[in-house]
Amino acid sequence: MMAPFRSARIFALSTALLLGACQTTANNKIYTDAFSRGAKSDQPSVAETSKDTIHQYRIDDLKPGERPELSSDEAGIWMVTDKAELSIATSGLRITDPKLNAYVNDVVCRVAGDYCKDFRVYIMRIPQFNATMSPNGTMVIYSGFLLRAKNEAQLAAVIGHEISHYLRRHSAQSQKDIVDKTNALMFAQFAAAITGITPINDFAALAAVGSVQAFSRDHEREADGYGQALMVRAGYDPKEAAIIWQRVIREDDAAPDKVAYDPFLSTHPPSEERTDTLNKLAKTVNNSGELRTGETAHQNAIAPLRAEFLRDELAGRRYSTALELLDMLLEDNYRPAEVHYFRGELYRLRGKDKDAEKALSAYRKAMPEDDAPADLYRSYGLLLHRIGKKDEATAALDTYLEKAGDAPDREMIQALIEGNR
Amino acid sequence: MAVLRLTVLIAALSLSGCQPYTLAQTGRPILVADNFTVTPDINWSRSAVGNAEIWTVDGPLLENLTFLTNVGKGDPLAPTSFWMRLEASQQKEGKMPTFDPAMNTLEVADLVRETYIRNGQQNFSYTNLTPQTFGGNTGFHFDFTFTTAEGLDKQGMAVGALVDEKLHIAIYTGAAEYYFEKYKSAVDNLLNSLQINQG
Repeated sequence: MMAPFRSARIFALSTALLLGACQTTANNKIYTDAFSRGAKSDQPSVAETSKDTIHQYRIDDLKPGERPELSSDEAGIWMVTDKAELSIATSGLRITDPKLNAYVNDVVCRVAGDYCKDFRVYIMRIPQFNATMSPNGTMVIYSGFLLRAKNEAQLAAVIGHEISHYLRRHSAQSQKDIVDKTNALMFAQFAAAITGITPINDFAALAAVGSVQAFSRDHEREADGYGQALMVRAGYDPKEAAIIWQRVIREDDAAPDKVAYDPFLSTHPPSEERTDTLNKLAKTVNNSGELRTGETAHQNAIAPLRAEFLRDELAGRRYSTALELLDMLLEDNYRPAEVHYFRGELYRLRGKDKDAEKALSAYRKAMPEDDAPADLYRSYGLLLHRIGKKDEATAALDTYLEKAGDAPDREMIQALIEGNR
Repeated sequence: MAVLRLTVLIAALSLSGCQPYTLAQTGRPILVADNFTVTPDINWSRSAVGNAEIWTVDGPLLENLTFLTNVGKGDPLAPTSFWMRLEASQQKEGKMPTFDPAMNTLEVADLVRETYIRNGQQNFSYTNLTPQTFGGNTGFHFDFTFTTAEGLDKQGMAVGALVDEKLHIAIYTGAAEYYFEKYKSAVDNLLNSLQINQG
């Protein structure tokens, strides 16, 4: 009856993400421009701290509108991602809402500057914190990320991070790195075969993998710094870069297990080190200028779809993390009635001991608000009906029918009400 | 060598999850999932998966009629394999939504919606949730639409009933363009003939 959730499209997205894995270099104009504004000389830049490990793979930035030479290895990577992009463009997961797309594209263009036209942005309805950049400029933004970002600056921070993967041509650099390390591994295996000393095989493999991981973390660190420079250049408050990661850490910490939780976190490990670095970098920027967070703009942009995004989160049934997410959204204090309603829905769906009382309490908190959703009274009524409070249930369901207009379940609700009388 | 080839073939088939189809012939009562009796007026291909049967004419991705019988407390609203149940048993959270006998018909419609969303289907919405007789029992009917992850618009219809704390349900879905309508009347006739046997 049901198609598997992990479709070929998701696989294409993952492939694109893998191909887009990171790298860096120093001595870059965008970087220098942003951090020359009040930069403190005693604060080493991210690029400076990582240049020893990446110097040998240094490649010049792509220029606006540039495509790699057709005969190059990099062009091969672009060809693969061009094909993956076709799948993404026609995916059923894609959100085509014009206003939301206009908003996200606008933020991308602000951050990308002259490179704006090099990116195609696809918003996908997937309830996870994630954003990816393919080497050919295919940027994918997950709905779960839009939901979790509190403001435009947090959106810009992650977009800046992803754009820096593109500008720094990380895929091409990673490919060189992988080829070099594979060659080293093959040599070690050859030597092992001749000498008959097998442990060197495992040792070489571990060394190669360990080195790749260290290299990747180094790239991530630089992409964070580079991305932050891009967001500052676009006029966003760089302090928000650390905050979005703190929000992710907070939610991740609430997970009872890490089984298949979030692919983004496995390649972008949120850590104290990461947020510390971002905080330190933010302090190197001269805050006397106009640096904005854009909270209202962001919340208004996702408002029409937020209920659907929250419904998707609950359908994932990862209640511990969803509860933490709802707590954060309540603290943000934007349209709290909607958040209280979904908090009630979470408890109603989870159905553990005392969850019925918790759900009823959450629904009641939403009721006094002008923007309390009509569906709230449906859920409230159904729950009261289930625990035997039939008169109260009837009153709530009557309210639902009154507020919901042409409710798709009107006839069935009326039948339920008749049964209660 | 022939034995080896046969073993490899069987292993490949079982690994790929292939389900053999048999013919559900028109004009005669057929026992479905050991629990329903129906009399089809066209020929269908049928395949059994646990407590469920999937019927189709042109192929399950184009249109299918899925029967789920005797869905009890804690059962998901989808045919499940051994591996899916094993995976679910290892998860603390994130499991498939499941049926609870305390649910009423409205909550069952919500359960269908949650199950579809959980499986990655997009823009699910239902309409016309109404009381309707199902196999001689007071039951429910609703229509729905959704878009698959691949971008195909689909139309659907669910009918069912809650009997003795068990859910019995038949869900018909098809591509919104052409296929859903193609067999809609055949499905209506088949479901009108449906009887629920003792579970």
